[in-house]
Amino acid sequence: MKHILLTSMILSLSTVSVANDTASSKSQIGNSYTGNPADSAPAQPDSQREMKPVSYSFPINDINQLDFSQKQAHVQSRQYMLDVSGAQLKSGIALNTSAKGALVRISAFDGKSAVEPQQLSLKTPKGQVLKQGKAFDTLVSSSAMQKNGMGFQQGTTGFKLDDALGAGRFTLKADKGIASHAKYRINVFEKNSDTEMHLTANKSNYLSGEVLKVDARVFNQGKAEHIVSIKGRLVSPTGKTFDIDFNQSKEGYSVAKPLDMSAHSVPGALWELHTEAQLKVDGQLIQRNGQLPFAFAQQTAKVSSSPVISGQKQSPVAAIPVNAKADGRYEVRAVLYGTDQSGALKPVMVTHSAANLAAGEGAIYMKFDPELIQQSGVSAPYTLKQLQLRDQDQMAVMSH
Amino acid sequence: MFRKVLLLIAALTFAGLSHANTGVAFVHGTGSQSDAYNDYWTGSFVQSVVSGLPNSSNYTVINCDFTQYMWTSGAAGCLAGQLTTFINQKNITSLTLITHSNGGNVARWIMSNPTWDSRYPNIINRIDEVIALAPSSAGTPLADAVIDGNVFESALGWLLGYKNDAVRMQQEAWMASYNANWLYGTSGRPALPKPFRSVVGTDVESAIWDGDSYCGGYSQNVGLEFTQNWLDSCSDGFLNCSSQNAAGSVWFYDTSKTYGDEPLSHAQSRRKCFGLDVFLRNRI
Repeated sequence: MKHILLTSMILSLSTVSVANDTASSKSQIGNSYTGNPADSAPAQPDSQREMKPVSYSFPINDINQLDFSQKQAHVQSRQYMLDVSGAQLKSGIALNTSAKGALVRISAFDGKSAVEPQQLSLKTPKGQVLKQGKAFDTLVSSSAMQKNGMGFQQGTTGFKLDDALGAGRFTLKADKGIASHAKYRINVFEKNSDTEMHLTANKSNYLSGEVLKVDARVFNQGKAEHIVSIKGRLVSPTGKTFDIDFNQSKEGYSVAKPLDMSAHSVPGALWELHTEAQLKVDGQLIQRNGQLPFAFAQQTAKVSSSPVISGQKQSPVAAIPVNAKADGRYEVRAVLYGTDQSGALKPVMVTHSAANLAAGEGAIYMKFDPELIQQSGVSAPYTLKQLQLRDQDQMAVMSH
Repeated sequence: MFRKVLLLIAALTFAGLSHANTGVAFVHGTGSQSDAYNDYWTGSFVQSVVSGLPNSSNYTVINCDFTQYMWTSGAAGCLAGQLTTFINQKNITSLTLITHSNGGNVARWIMSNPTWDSRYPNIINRIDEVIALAPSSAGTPLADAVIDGNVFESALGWLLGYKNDAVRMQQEAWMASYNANWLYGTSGRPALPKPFRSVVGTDVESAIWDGDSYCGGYSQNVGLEFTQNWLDSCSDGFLNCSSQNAAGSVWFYDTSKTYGDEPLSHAQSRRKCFGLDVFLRNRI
């Protein structure tokens, strides 16, 4: 018990829960939904979805250090992948690299037909053929890969190309023991490469009907590289795919894809833009693959008008008008500001309030922690900032 | 008057002392556990830590399915259920969560989304602090590598083959999205309602001649050598330091406190290695 008890007492006082205590509303229903569903095939809520209204407040930290703006989604990649057959591997596949010391993994689709590094030969850019894994300075067998506990699927092996071999066009060949019909994924991670693909979406949360905007660029030491070709597809959390078109832009390619497909999917799971680009580095083709995740959900509710704050000076209540297209569980969260003795607005607490709403016009009522208000020394008038509405059934942000 | 106030504070403090009933919950990382006491933490580690409690029986070892997304009923819902049972059965008023790896994310989910489940507020109010051992707060590039090489999904369909949503969730860009939208405690986001203090592992020693590599299981360390290539120079073999210190505040970086200045690999940060159990025992 090294903690200062007084501090812990203050901390325990400074949070408050008001489960089952959200103010009633005719649109706010208890343990059952009423009204009409919106679109067909709604998101499947968790089987143990909460049905009780819950509210919770806690102190806000330094507001000047907080950033509530919607962030871009971004990934960068120095890796690529190839799917090949055993027959291709036996006849030799091109393994192009842009830097020394590439890390290679080979995963058998069936989880069993592993290609052990000692079964592989490598022809170097200078024409030298190195057999039985002699080209590699780290060899990881399928059993060792399993033992490292990282979760690589069974039938995965790995190796690192010897730094002394440099970069360029290698040919990787399986010497023996590989079934021609077997399928393999080869992942090449160029840790030492300066050639990096960047995928950047203008935001990380999209709602149905919005346009997904993504820039795809490849940089080499900060300089934009010419992309020879690029292709991609959207992949939903259930594995459904959608073709997309890239358009050439000033320094690369861009996507402007209207998200007009159904967003109903696995709550909370992200969609991905899978991208494969080919580019030329020192005269040879280099590939890059990247997966850009983003949230995509149906717009099921909106804050329909301005919040109304009422109540006594030390115990305000805010009514947040919500127009719901579908029955569901919705949450509002916001920062409560009060007025200090100089007349300035001062942030006091973060409050979350959730309730089950029927389709149509309704409201979620936010109750605030009177202890936190008292400690802050503020009083009316109050205001809410950084108000957000969320659909907890979809696990989606409806408004920023 | 001032003296009276001091006396009142002292009385309140004493009252708090006499009524505080401290408990500890051990929250495992990615994986589905049915006997985490033996399989994940080991009894010697747990017993060493809880010997620091006023009542050494006030502990629970969580067994949940953390292969699922953190917000699901099998993950955070399961954790909330077991914590609620523990709190009620033992009348715990001051709870320390000791989490490892992805267990920190599940705990952070509960503290960041208190309205998701009506059991969450009571749990949050009872928490004194979360001690997050090597938390994967910003994900790991190894999760990206695992998912990239996961051809079962390609071969058999997304939902039919190998599936570990917790690994998918811990890809770096996925965690960036969840940190920006659903979790508190990272830079630029509101602070968590209760302290979240991490222990950061900074290196892996896997040399066969180094006896220290054997703490926590040599076989678990030696395989880390290859995967270290995906990580920064500061990592515990599974997580970059920049992920382990991304949320809350840092309690300590391993070598600043461990016996012999030894680093804690990801496997060692849930074992009785280099005094970790003693530091935890003295803190709870």
